[in-house]
Amino acid sequence: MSPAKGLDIGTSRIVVAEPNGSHYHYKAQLNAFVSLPGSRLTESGLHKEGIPFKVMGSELVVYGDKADRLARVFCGELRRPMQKGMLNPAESQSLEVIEQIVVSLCGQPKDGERICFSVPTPHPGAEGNLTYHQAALSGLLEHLGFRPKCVGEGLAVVLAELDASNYTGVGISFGGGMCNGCLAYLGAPVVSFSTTKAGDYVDRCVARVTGEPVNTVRQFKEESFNLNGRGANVLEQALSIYYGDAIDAAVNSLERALSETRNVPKLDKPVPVLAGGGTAKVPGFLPRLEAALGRARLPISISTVRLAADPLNTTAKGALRAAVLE
Amino acid sequence: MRTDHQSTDWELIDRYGSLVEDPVEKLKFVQRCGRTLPTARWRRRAVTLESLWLASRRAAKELPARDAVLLWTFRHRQAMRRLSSAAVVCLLLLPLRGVSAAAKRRGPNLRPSPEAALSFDAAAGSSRVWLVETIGHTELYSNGLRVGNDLRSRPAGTVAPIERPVGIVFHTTESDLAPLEPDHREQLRRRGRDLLEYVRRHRLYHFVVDRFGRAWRIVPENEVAHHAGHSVWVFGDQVHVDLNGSFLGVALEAQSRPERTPPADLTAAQLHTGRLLLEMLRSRWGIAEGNCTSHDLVSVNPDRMLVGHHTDWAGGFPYREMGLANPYAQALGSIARFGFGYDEAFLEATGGRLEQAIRLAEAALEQQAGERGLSTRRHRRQLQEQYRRLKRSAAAARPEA
Repeated sequence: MSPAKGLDIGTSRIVVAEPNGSHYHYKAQLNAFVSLPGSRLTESGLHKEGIPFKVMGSELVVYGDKADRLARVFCGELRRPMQKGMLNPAESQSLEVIEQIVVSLCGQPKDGERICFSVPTPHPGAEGNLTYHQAALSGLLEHLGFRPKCVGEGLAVVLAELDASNYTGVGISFGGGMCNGCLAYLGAPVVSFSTTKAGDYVDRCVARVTGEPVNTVRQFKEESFNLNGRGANVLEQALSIYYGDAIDAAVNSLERALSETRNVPKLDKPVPVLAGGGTAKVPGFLPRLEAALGRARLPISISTVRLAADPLNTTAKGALRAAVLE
Repeated sequence: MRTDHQSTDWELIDRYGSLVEDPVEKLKFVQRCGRTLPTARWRRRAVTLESLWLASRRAAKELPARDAVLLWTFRHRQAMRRLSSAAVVCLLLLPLRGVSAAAKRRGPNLRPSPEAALSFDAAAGSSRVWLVETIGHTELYSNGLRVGNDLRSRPAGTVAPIERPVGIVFHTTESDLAPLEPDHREQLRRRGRDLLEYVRRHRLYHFVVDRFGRAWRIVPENEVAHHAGHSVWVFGDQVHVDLNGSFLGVALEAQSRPERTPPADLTAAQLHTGRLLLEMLRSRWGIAEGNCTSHDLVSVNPDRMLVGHHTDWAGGFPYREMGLANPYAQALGSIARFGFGYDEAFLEATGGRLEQAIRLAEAALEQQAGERGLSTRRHRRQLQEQYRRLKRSAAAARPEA
């Protein structure tokens, strides 16, 4: 197999997948940064601690996983190069930060190495943003020496795990900034859809209605929240409500996309639905999704609804499969 | 919306795609074949032919030679059918034209000779097994196996996945059985239905073979079924702990009675289907013969560090009839590798059939202790500690369910 990599450039994390024999190897970094005022003392301190940073103007920009720790230590603001699945227009350094994270994950490309990166499906009215996002990332990867191509995030989920159904089925990636999905038929995308009601939306809304900081909400969600249970406190109740809202939005988006598309293939057998992404990892997520799909009026019938084997790495794995296709 | 003709083309690509096992090769194949089919009839036909040609080439590459012959036959079935019809017509017309009876006898014999049939069967027995078609909820495999999917269990929550099954554990359902006689038809039907419903509700096995030899898929192979519980299996250098996460569970509707020989009263139909199912699963997932085992050999009780928490099959799984080597004559891995003990209840529940396996394992344990200069008791304690550590790390690595 010629060298190739799959890259999932998500709002909250960047994951790279590489072939490792008959398996896959994954590396991930937080897609975030903090900036510190530049000084020789801070610089040497960061060097000493082995914290990756880049001098940008008069600031020291710490990126990746270490940025989160530093933000907590210094009570600073964790900044995001991306927002709602696309490059963050409010952050002028977004591309440079992503470049640093990609270099730290992918290293130097081998001669003519292919890389396939994931792109979101733009929500209605934001199609122009995708053009810029896609071209900017493609240019960045080309500049680094890769041969880039892109794959829709929903399709990547299908390519990652729906080989048993010959890559026919619905893949939905429930990420941080966006929820992207795709109905594919024999590996070709038929309908793509997206919503911006994803992990960050849930955190933000719950923080607003409960008065808790977003970080507290996120930590609680990741460590002890179960969507199965009845909300024992206000935080759990709010999380349950907004999770339900995000799931319903994704299913409605699928329903709308299918109803608006004329070339839906005549599928003579039910298709599987696969959910990936960090937001889908919460216990109890799957029954809620299954119930929402059961309520929806879809022109296709569903055989199984399941969670990806490795939800955090599914998109990168699918992107890698798309990369080796050439 | 695609036309019916196009749907048929796609269906063919879908069917051929199932023959390709490597996920990336499969993706290349379906994408290449699955280009948008043109609407003009002749162009559509050309693309269909190209798809079929590509499909059969790729599939032939993936399959061993003998299967490629079958595939060739399938590909040219239309031509062969026409040829056969023409030959039959010729045979019917020949007497009218005054051809002699001798000439008639020299005419083409379209029936396969017994020798040919025999060699075909022999090849099929050892060949790869693939999905031929799905009719309704029933899958038909190339070795004649039919698997019903009507009773597939839909998970109520998040399902722990199996990345790739590495082995099979055979179980008996230990359910109430009605006599297999026409007078008990209703009772047989009801008990079978209740059993399958129970198994389905609790996701107990991946497959169940009922008393009439019907195979039912209950849990898909890439999802965990709750069949083996605390369990240990050792095959060569491979050590497997808590087999639910990596082994498939196949249950035959039967009850073990240690006092009888054989202890589980299987029907001929069950044995036949069990063998076909084993053949299909081994072919599909590349499962080693040594990783096909029975529940009585793998079940353990970690609280008391004893083997045989469950004893279905009672030392009487029909390994030979299933075409497998007999592990009952080998050292029991849970004792030799992890120092498990056994008690009288276990010997009784297995009708003494596992005494040899236990004796061999105990001897191996003593030998290892001697080589390490330890007392058997101390060596056993160390092995048990190793087991607990392994179990802890396996539990930590297990995906959320």
